[in-house]
Amino acid sequence: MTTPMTVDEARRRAAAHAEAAAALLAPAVVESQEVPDSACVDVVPPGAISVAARVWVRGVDVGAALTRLYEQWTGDGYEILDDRRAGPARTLLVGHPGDGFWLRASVNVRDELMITVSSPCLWPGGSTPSAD
Amino acid sequence: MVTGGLVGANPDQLDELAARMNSGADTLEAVRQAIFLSLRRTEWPGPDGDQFRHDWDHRHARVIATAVTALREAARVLRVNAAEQRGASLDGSGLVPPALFGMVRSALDQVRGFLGAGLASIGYSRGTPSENFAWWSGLTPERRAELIHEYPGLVGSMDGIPAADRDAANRIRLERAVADLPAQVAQLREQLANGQITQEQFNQRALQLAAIRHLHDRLARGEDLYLLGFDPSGEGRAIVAVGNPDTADHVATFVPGMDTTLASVNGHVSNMAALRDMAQSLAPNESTSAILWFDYDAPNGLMEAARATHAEAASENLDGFLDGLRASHVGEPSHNTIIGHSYGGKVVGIADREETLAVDDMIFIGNPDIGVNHASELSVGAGHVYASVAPGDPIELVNIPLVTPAEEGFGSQQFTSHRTEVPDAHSSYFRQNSPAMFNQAAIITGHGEFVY
Repeated sequence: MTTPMTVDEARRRAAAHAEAAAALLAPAVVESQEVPDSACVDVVPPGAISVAARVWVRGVDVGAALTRLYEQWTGDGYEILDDRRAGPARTLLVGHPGDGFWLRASVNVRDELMITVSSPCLWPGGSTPSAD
Repeated sequence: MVTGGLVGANPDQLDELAARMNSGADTLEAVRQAIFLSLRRTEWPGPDGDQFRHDWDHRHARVIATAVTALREAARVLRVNAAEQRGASLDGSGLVPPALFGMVRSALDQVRGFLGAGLASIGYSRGTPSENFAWWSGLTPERRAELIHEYPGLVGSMDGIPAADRDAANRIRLERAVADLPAQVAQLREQLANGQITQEQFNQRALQLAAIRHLHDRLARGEDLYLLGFDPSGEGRAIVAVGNPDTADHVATFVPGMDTTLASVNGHVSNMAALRDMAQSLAPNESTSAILWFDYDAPNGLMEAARATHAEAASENLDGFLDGLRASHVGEPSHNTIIGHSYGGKVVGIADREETLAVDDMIFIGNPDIGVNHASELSVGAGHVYASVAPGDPIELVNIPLVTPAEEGFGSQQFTSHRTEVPDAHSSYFRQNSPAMFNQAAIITGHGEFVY
């Protein structure tokens, strides 16, 4: 999927989605982390990327936090792409109904909760360039 | 390896082969000049030194010069042949004389022998990755720095040399390639104007040249990257590590599939950075290095990819590289994983069958057959073989006579890439946040229990 959106706009939107998700878990200590862009290889014309943002949410019960996020996101019409909260992976992946961003909440080996948001594929110049 | 007449050969491939031969000739010539200068600068009194200098001047240097001439002549004939085939006027006169290739082979054999014995006698070595590491470790820092600057091509491609030193050598090669870009672009424009290449060929080559500059700029920005291999000739080759593999707890090596060229490298490096990021988020106490390994001639298009020849030719390079990672690693051995995407899986499967790869886990994503029919035939054992194919990946539509890694009968640990069909499914395995990315991060950090 590619979308007419500038990289700056996508970064702002990814950060806003991550912060909004973290705000659902208040009071909590929230730390932002930069995440490298990934490439949409083979998408024509070349050069499309996906940008991402991440927040770490500390000082919460991670199991309860995953449940809270699930309830809010399903209530808001997010598409559940993968619900592995109950398994060893302890992760939940949803798609935003408005802009197609993906949001993943997951718990790592140190029992820490992170929320990573990624954009659909887009070209750094903004709108889809012609294939000429 | 060229084996004889070239009737019906693809003219583009002939041109590429010619470019590689010219590049090889350039390298040999550079080595000849460097050794000449070193011998003049090195104090080596006594009969052994006298004998070596005599042998060098009267035999070895001439052998190399002969090989250089033979390579350049073969390249010239190949270009003529390619031009004639483009003109559809092939009548046999453009065929490459088998005798010429015999001459090239003979000269190269002599050069190989010389490089083994002659270089060793003046302090250079090219052995197994472990031997290379031992030799390199025995040199003083000053000598290593000297070799990096005098022989960047040799040091930069030598398996077993520490990543930081390979990186330093390859950055010199990259600088040279960037300095050569204006001339390359001018030559391309001239070829286009003269009708020697089509607009499409011009565009493809221009993308590769742009990728060289992009890679250069990216390395200059100070990202945590190590250039472990670089060759700008033909469709190009590059090995780029995100994070230092010599000090990492986990090392993942990714082998890309068909149609990979230098123009693809930057995208793949971005995906290695994203994979490493996900891995280190899942296991923050441990460090991870993720490597793009593109040191083989990837097939162009499905017709070439249907054959195993490109994979078979890649086996030795891949095996040597992975052995080199083991040899130069500092401290406890790292947990190493190989990832084969599409045709890259065939490269991995065949290399393991032929050479036994030095890895702990294997991941196959979006593959046709991989040269073996069951996970238990791979050296890591079925419990350490993971595979996935994304819903909607057109690779599933390819008629493949053998069992593919993600099929039930293969015996691999299957994992989810995406729950539903996604656009560009065949290239979606490193999409940020996807199940494919999450699961690969879990595997490369040794947390198979997270895989779903």
